[in-house]
Amino acid sequence: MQRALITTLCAMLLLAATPSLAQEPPPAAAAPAESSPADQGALSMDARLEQLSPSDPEAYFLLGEEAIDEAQLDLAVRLFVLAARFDGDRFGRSACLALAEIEKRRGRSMEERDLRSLAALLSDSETVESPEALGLKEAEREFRRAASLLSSMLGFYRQGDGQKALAALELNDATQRLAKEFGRSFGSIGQIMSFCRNYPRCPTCRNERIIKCPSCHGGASPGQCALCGGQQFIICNICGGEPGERIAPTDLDSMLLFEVALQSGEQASWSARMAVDQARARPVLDLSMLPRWYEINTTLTVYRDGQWTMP
Amino acid sequence: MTPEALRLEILGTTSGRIGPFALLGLTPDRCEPHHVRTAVDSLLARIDARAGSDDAAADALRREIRAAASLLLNAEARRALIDDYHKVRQSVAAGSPAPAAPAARAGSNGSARTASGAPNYPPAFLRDLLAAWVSAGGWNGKARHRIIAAGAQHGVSGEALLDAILTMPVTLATPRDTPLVGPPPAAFAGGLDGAPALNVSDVLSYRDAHEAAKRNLFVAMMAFLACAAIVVPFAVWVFFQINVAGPKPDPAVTAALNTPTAPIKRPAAPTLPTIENENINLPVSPLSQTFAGVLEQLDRDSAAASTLDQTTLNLFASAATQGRKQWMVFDGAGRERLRDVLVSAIYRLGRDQASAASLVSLLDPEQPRWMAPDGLTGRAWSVGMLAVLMREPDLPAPVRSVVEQHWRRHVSTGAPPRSGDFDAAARFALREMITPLVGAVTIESGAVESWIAWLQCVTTVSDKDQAEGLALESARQLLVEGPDLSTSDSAGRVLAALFSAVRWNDSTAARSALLAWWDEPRISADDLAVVSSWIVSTGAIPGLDDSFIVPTDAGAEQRAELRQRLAEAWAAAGQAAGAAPARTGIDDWIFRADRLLTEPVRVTPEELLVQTINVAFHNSAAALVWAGRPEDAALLLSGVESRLADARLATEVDPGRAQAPIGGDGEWAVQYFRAAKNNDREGMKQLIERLPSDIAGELGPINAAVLADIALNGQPRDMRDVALDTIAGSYASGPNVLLALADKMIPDRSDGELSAAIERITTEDLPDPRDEQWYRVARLALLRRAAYLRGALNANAVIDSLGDLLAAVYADRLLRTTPSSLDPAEAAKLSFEQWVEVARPMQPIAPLPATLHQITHRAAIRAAVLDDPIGRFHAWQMATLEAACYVTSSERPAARQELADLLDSTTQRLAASRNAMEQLLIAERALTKVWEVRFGQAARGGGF
Repeated sequence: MQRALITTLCAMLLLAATPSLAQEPPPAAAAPAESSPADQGALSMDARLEQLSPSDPEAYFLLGEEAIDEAQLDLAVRLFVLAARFDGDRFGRSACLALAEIEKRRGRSMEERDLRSLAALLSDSETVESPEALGLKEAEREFRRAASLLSSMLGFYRQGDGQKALAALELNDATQRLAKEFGRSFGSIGQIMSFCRNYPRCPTCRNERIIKCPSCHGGASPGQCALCGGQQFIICNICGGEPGERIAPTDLDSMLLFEVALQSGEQASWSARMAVDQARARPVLDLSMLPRWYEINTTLTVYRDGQWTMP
Repeated sequence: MTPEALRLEILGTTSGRIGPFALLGLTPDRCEPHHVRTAVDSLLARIDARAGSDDAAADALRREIRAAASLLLNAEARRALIDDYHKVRQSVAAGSPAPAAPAARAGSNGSARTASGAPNYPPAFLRDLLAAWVSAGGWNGKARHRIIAAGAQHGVSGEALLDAILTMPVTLATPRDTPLVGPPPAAFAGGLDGAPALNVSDVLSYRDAHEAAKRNLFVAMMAFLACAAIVVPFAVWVFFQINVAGPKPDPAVTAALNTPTAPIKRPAAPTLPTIENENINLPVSPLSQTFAGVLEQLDRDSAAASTLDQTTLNLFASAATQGRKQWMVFDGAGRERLRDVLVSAIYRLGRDQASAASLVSLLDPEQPRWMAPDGLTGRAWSVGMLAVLMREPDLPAPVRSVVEQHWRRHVSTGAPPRSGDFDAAARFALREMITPLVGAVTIESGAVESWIAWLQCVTTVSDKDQAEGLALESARQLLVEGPDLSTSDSAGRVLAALFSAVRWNDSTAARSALLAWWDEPRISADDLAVVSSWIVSTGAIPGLDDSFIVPTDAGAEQRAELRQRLAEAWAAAGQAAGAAPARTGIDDWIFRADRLLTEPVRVTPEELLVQTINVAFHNSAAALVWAGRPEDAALLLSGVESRLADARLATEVDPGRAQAPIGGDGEWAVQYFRAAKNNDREGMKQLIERLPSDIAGELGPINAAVLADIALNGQPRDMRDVALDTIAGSYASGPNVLLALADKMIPDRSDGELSAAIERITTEDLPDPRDEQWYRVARLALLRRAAYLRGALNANAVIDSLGDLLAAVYADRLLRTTPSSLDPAEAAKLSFEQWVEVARPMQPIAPLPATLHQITHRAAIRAAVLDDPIGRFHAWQMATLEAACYVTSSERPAARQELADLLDSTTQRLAASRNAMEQLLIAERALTKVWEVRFGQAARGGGF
């Protein structure tokens, strides 16, 4: 309860600190507009988009805010990215915060984290937000927890305990992201989950690996039973004492490396980390990266006949 | 009891400065061996008889007595001592007859005499008296003058002065009221045999002469000053007139006049002994026929034998023993043959734990005295052999386990060699020996022989550069931590031996190391005096004469001056030999940097990382050049290839290679289930306890899962404890068991026993079991251990090795002491902080790319976002780049735009890069360009 309250409070504070979404004017919002908001509101969104011109980046920014209100998030993203592209000094930071809020609404915490970090990098104030204030530490904790859950799930899967594996994995944004990382190396996590659903445990030994001798039912004396030789117990004849899916040794090694690297965070070795992400390029925290992140062609800056074109 | 009190009781004096005669109570006429032995026995008996005879002071005194005795028992030394004694006596015997017993005289200047007869002179007078005698080098004419002057200065009468001289040993060497023990020292016992030595009138006449000389000197001085006051201004005026009116002086003459006069010859410091008969480079030869026969026999027997019998074991022992002792004198083929036969034999015979332990123990036996020459030779061989075995891919599990234990014993400290080759591992072992061997120089009589053996091993397993590097490292450690060279003969011999492996004029490493010694405050001027004296006397470096010898009281300034002379001597020698004049460090660096920046970007992560490290080396060299240490920069760059090669070869031995389970998997589990069904608790317990003796090292997956299940969920509780104890004690190296334990753990089911067992297994500290993080951390520790044991963590060990090297290179650029091993990100962060320190006093009008405060915060944010090890390194690398731009743009405002463009293009290239390793290279190259700008060279376009 308390945690929920704190989370809500933090979210409110964050909203308040975000000029674009707290309905505060952006840095240049004080400049006189050519037409009043009432007039603007009367026009359709398409018409207003066609009025936009790269010479007035502020109009892009303001329309982006309205697009958020109208739940047109993709459009809002394009408008914010273009505003930041046209005048990074004035709109860069605000655009990043607005985009972070969009990612928050989309439930993409990592993107939100990167955008808030970028906003912090762009701050021209001497008081720059700390990593804690930016929620980076919280994101890291969330990531660690998700990594631990995924690892537990894989552990139960290795033991052939599909039921526990399914119960261990709590699907959220972070675990899905990790599952995606996992998929790059080992194939879909969905396939593993599917296996677990179909194989909750060994139907014969219930994962005990040893069963009573089905021939003598555990009652033979030494040397009497041909199947158990009087041992009364045998290795499970269905799973062979190893319930679950057979995993090749190299796959098992890679899986372990993945789990260890994920959970070790900064402490992982370089090679372990490379096994996780194949040395994928790290995000470059720079305003010029926004178009690249969102795959927006910033040469198409004007809206004509229902599509974005070059001026 | 204090040492002084003990000396007083036994010797009758507290002085530590008495000779062997006085110490043993002997005279030159009575110092035959039997006298010496009797005296020693008597003194030692007296020491033994008193309380506290086994304390440090008593031991010290015993050593002193024995040392004196050994001198007098040595005929040659005894003769020399007696000669000295008589010489001194004769020099004293030039005066009046010996006075009567000193106790019969009284000081005429009122100096009270003690009850024992010892005069009571002022301490300052006695100090001056002794100083005069010592500084004159004994009893001679100069000493007489000085002693008389001292007497005059303290107002001591002639008689009293004579009395003081004759009784000086009493007054100086004993406390008041203590009778003199032993014969009077020869220097003051001139009249012992009736010969005249020194009389009062002699003393008084010298005193008068001294007073007169003083008066004359004063008059002469005043006259000189008066003349100088008149003549000097006149001479200056005349010179000025000649200079203005006359022709210009011949430049050649001027130059000749300005040539500094020849330096004043200084007395040579004690130099290092030569190392005759101490051949470092042993002649090598093929295996002897006998030994080759032993190896042949061993090879045949081991191939034929199904188990290890005593005969084969003996053969193996013989081969191993001889190999340990003589491997250095075998040629390469011989050493190879020895290794092959032994490894093959281990493969064939080490099938069970006991055999494996026997065989490996023969290769690497316990050595209580490993620092003896034979011992350290054997130790280097053992480590080399273990490294070879560690790299064997199909070694039987029992052997691997034993080899692993032995290996850990040797690589418990320091960075272990990652290469599996014999030579590298032996070099590692030899490097590890340096510190203890340096320590032994002071206490071990055989230390020199050990060092010779060490050098022989080093030259056997190293190329010239490697051997030189180890020799220089040892020499430095000896100079820093070893005994004073001027007093320790063995230290001097060791240093001379080490110097024999150094190419003073052909090796940059040697030059840099030697120059660095002059800067090293922990190397005393006394030691430098010996080193410099050796350099001069052997002509090791041409162009240096006696004036290069470091005075023993040299301060930092004088050391720096002599260091400069050393550097100049090398430069001059290079030019005289026709070598091209050395370019400045900056030019050389820029030349190399340009070449690096135009190299094409590689493709694979490993190649990219190597390329990054290469550039990083040059950036570290730039920092050294900037700091005015071009020699260090050159040294750093000269080692790039070898350090990269070492790192690239590095594939950490696989201590964690999965061991093949022994025995039929599941049989034990069936027995356990049967005992459980019969509720035979004792039987269950015994089954668990006996498991390691039945199946050692590792279990198959079924047994492992069942044992892990018992350890986590077994009932009753003590069954769990037994299982946990068995796992921790016997299966800590079994990946199947550990993985099963990790995978079967359930959150919120922690307990103290389980936590303690996991700590034992993994040697990692875990949080309190009630902590919510416990499950995650404990499970991760087990997974890490299992992955390590399976070899999964070593799959791409070369990347880790290169990462470590990158960290080391970053550490090299730090102009201060850093921890011995740094994480790459930590090293990059320290590099950033160093730039910040430089930047802090700067106040640029337009800081680039931001204020220092903002740069610091940006760095922290980047490091938090890029929270994996590679990303974090990159974050601090980028921060370093920004800080370098800030500093350089502040120093060179005209280059601001150039630097801004550089940062922009770097960002674009980073975004377009294919992988993280390419990003590291891009950032490192950008830093190189910043250095170029800082050195005044416009940054090259392209080349990222």
